Amino acid sequence: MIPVPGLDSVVCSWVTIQAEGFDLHGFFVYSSSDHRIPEYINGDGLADLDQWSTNECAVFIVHSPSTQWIEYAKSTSHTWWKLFGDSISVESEIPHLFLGIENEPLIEIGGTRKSLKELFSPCLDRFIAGDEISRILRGFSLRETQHPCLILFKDLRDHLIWYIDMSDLVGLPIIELRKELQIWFDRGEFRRILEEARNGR
Amino acid sequence: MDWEDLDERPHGDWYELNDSDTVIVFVHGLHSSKKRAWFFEGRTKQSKDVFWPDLVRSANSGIGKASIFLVNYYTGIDAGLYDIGHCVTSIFNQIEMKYGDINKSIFDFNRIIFVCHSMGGIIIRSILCKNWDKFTEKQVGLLLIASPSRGSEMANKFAYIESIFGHRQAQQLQSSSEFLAMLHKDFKDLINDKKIPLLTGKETCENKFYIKGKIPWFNKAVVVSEESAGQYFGRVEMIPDTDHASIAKPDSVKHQTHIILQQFWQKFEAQKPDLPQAQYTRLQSRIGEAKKISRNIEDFEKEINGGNS
Repeated sequence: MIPVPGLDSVVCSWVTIQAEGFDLHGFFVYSSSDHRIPEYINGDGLADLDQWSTNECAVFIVHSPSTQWIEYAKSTSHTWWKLFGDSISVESEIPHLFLGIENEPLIEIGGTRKSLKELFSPCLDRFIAGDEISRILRGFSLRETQHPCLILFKDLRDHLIWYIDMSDLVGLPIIELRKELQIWFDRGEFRRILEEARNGR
Repeated sequence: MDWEDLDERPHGDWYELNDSDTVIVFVHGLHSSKKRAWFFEGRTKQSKDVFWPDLVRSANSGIGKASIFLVNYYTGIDAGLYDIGHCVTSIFNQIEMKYGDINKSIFDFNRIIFVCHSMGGIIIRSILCKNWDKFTEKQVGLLLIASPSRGSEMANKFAYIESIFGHRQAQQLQSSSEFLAMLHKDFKDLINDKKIPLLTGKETCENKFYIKGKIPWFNKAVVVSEESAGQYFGRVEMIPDTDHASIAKPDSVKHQTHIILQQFWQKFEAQKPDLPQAQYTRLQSRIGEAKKISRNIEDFEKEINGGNS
């Protein structure tokens, strides 16, 4: 699982990503209104999906990573860290001090409440990009309404891609949503696609 | 696919493949095949040839929409050292693999009904015991047709002949078989421990020997006794006017074995809405099937070049 600011960052980093030797790549595409997917990703989702999608598949997600994620990526030399580590400063003590409450809107400035992450980690904000979802969908010849979904491909410019509709997940309680995704990644379909990509079919 | 298209080679065939979430898997018995086990040969002008899977998929079968898979494994008289363990491996591979262009295996279905004749039931029970974790989120039905769960006295009677051929499968079917004793214990545990929570079953047996009257000392004998056929799922159903072969060859939808399958199907269907919600949710995946689609690469170039491709 690789949180990215948007389509362009994947295109720009594609050579580096390819060098990592993944058999399969993909985009997990959802909007902020596809409840409760963003909520789940903000919680345990990123770590769950990173584990379930295995080391052979890199799934990109337009999402602002938490400080825990950044720490995790750094400590494990995760592909994400190789791609974005240089531009993220976690040397500061601030993220460590506020670990766990960085997303809480604690401080009011000019009538709007801001979280500590928004205040102290402006570099992370560039990961939040609303229209990136539409760009990704259009880039894969999908309609802008075809989300949430998972798009899988071997190469960024492949003509044939896999499209997995996840619209029935919208509105599910997080515990059920997690179970559905876990079963999907664990079941034959994901493994079959991975195998097909590995064999270059 | 039609009956004529089937061959005797040891591989499975999708006889019917549709978008139903249920698959009926036919598993034949000893010295038989997917082509012969279920085939009723009409010998008079009044009676016509009937292949049971054809009846099952017909509009008036009384059985709802389901895909049909026919298992086939090596069990000829010349099978020799190819024992039941080898058959188990062969069949498990068949139900796990995807054939040719068909991107589906038995495990892609949420609901699986195994229709097993004779030794086929032993093999499937063995597969369920060894691979129960792959079935925990499936609704599984097991219709055992004259399956000798505790062995067959007839296998004992023919033991000498089978030993001449060195036929391991037949030897393992004897009532004293250690293999069957272990399997019986394991399968009992599987049911008692509810390792496959949604497993239901039904057992049937024949009521006469192949050639009743012609060999006097076999008049009261059957290949699979009521006791041996009825071990796990309550009262065993004795199918009238059937022998060990004809019990698996219904000649019409009015044949008692077909009616048993109809009733089993109805119960299987009725159980569906009664499933606990969490399990039901897991059976009916909410994530759509992966579709391989073609894209226009110009769309992509347009996006990354800001509309200036």
